[in-house]
Amino acid sequence: MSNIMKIQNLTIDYNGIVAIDNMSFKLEKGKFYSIIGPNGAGKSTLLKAITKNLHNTKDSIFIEGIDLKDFKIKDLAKKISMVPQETSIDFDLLGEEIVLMGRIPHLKRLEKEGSKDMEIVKNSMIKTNTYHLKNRSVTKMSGGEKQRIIVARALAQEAGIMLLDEPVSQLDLHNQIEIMNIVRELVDKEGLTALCVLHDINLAVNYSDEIIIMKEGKLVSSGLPKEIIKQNILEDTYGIKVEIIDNPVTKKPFIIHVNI
Amino acid sequence: MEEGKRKGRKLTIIGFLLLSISIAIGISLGGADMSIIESLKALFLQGDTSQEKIIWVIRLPRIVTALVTGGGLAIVGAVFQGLFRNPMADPFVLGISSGAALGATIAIILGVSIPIIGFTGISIFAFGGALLTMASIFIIARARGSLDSNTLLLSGVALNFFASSIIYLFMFLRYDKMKQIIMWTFGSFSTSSWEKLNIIIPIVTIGMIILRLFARDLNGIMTGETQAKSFGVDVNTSRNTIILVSTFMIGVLVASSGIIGFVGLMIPHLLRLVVGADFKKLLPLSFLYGSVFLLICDTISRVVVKPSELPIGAITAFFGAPFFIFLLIRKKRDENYV
Repeated sequence: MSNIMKIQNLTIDYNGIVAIDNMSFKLEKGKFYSIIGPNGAGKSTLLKAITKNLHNTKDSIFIEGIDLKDFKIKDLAKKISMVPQETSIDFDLLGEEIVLMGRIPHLKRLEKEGSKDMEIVKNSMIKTNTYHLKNRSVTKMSGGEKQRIIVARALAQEAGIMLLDEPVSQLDLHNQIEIMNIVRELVDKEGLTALCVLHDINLAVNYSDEIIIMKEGKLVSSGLPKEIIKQNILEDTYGIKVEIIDNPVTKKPFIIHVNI
Repeated sequence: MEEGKRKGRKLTIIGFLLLSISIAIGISLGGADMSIIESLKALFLQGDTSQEKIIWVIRLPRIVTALVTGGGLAIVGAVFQGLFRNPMADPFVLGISSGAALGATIAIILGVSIPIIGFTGISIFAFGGALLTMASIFIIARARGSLDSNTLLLSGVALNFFASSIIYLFMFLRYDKMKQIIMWTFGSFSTSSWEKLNIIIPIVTIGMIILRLFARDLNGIMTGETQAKSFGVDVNTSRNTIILVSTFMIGVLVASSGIIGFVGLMIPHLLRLVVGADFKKLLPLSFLYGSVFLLICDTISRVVVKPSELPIGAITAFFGAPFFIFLLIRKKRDENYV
């Protein structure tokens, strides 16, 4: 299996405060990875570093073997797309206009969007169940609809890696499952590599091929869900008491927190 | 999107009709009354020589200046609202206008009178003030180590107040010049000339073309800067280019005609209500409707108290604000019931 992304001894400090402490891991193409860990563990910092929103990541992040620092913003957007936790757009833009923004990395400044771009936009919207929203203003969309539009935009970038930063934490159960199903399907059918920060450990277990656990800027453990979702690891990481049972449907580990 | 395009085309046609009508009316009204037929004759055919002179030397340059100014202000207003993700932004939000006014004030107090290529010493100083303001904003933001929109916006607001306070001090100290300073800030097209237009038109045209080339980036920035970066918008480069280009446009327009408010705030909002926020549609329409609106306002300012005229800077908001509020309320109602 080829490594599509490699993080190697990544350390990030904000004026002496260490946010990421000597972290290393690799992502294989076509897998779903989740990052879990308490608030302040450095999960968001890690995503910021990967999207080139922090300096000084020299020699520690490699995308398809190339150092991140050698990527221009536009070229990076052809490799990595991003779905944030929430998007607030007060301006009256249509669903299709937003998804079309995903084509920016592929267009030269003087180049007009062509029929190929429109085809990709249409397909991205169909795959995310948003094609019916193409003429709806984003100001009139529900949270779930808006988030699916943002996933469609990320998809239109045709990037091999999709980062998702707590993509479902603002959504109801139905929309959570819908978004997670969409991403899982893209991983299975199109070979997308997903790296998704999640707070819901059970959601992470159900959808991930591998889970990365972080605490205080360090990698605690990473690997297959059933191997690393253990009582002692979670209790150490989160500082609460948990019980782990077998999910009766999926036979995967299921976490119950028992601090009452 | 198809519907948006249709509405855009409809608005373009209506806009050009309004433009033609307002130009025809603007040409025929003024100190010496002519019928529209007479004035059009003087414009296109061989007319009465004195009428021809009035049209070609006095009225036409003024009309063209009003059109270019209105269009330029509306475009920069639209751009700043998107760039700063702030519906209250207007072309003057970065303090560029106050910087220009300070420059003009200094020129008035020093009695500078070295006209260059049709511009008075006051205009030259005003343009210098605009550019210095922009330079200060970038220096402040850089010193703070961050060039994000909020830093730029806050620096602009602070500089705006700072420049205004110096103007007030000057007016307090030089009471005799107060009227001249205030009249300058009101704005006026009465000193319009072809010579000045030779400078204004190229700057505004080039500026508009560059801003249009950044329409896609502006759409992205409107959804958030971090997000825009994640889909390939080089936010820093785009933002700096846009501010630089806009400053030159605003600087030359303010230097030539003073501070004319409200056009840049109102026109983009009204157009968004109809065609949405996509900058590819919004920018050309902003120019068209900004032009028409300011020409109508200027015509009103010229004819209401003939042979004197009202300050254009007061007219725009006097007629614009109630109309704007009316449309905002009506739009809200449509949304609630449909």
